[in-house]
Amino acid sequence: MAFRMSEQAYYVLLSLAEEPRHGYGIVQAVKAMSDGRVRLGAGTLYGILDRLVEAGYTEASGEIVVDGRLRRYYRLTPDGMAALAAETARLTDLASLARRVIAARATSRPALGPA
Amino acid sequence: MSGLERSAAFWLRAYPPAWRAQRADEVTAVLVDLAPDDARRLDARTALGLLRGGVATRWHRTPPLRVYLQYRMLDVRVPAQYREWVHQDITTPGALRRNLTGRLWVFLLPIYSTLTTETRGEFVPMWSVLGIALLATLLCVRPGSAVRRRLQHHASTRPTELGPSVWVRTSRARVSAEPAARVLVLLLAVGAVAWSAAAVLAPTRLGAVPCDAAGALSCSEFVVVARDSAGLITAPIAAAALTGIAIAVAVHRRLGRHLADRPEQPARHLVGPAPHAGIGFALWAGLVVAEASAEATGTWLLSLSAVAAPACLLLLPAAVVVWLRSRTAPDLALVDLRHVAWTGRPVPVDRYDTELVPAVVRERR
Repeated sequence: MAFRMSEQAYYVLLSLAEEPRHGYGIVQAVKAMSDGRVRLGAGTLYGILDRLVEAGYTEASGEIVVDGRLRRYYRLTPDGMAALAAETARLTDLASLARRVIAARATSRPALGPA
Repeated sequence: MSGLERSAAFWLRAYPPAWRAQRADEVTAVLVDLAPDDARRLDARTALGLLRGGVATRWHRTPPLRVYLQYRMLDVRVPAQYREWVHQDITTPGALRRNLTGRLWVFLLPIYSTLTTETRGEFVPMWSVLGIALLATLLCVRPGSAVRRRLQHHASTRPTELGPSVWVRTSRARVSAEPAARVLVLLLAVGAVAWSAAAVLAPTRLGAVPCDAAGALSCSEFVVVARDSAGLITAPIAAAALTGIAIAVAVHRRLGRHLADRPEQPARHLVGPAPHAGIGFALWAGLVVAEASAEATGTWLLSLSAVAAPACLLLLPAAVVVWLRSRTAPDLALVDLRHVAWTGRPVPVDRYDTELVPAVVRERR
């Protein structure tokens, strides 16, 4: 089944591209990257991680216990990095297209004149 | 465990057990980190997120109806993403009931016939025999071995990890030759005596008669008629007994030729019959005697005994030879004797078996 790249999944991949992180680290990194706009709950985060692991984009890279709490780290696989690069290229193209459309609209004269 | 952790454990029940075994500790740690310092339970938004995630995970890991029906009714292997679900299905309580229920379609026609006929009482003996035969067979099967075989068929994976469990190499369990061969001899002896007697004594048989008085050959029907002679059945019974003795001589030679220098079996351990196999074999013997009695007294017409009596007599002498040989070599498995007797080739060396165990157990090993 093809992986559906939501905005939240994209942020998770982006956070793991920097360095391997555990669950709480991913939540914090996504929150910081999105200036607090995207706040992942545990249910959402692990739904995304399950899908990413199943797609082969991320994998567990080790676990440690801190203050009696299990921290499992995840890292990006080469496939995950490729998917991230492809999605970034798609978003870049989309943004370029949007810029061209907006710029063309700003410079063109209205066809029907003022309402 | 704090109140917050208890609350997390409660809401995490929305996820499948296998998922919880793998992730519960990790997710609980994240939930505790994300919660305010003075929180004693999860807030509604977080709880709802877990509920939604749990339902989605269960839905994702449960096979769709088509795959489910193929697995349940025809024992077809499911795609890889559902292997954990199959693992749960096979190893959790109620697995036997679910497995048998899935096979009920095999009996749809007889069940339909029973329910739609006005003389349902006539079907009681048939269903009783089927029920006892099923129970007897289940009692003869070693439960752990049956589960292992089903897991190997449905949930074998590469790499070897399957959720929180892992496939490991293990010694292969083989049924010891002597007790198994002894039971085989007993069953065949009971069958040979009971069915031979029934075949000779049965007062009725199935016969074809013309539909009309004119005796037209184009139309005939089967009816129960009285036996006129037992000679037709005693001849094949005697021939089967003589052939059985000849087979036993050949088996004796094969065993003598190949069992003397049998190889070491480092990947094997011997086990006895299943814990309640004695009851199962007794039930089978009872069924054989009951069926033979029904034919001998005319309650049922001559049918099964005409085939079963020669078959038992054909196999009994060879089984006796196998049993006598097994008594002299306690390290033999029944499969060794069967292999040599049937193929006439030397005993092969067993390969290691595989077993699915919790990953924690493997680390301890």
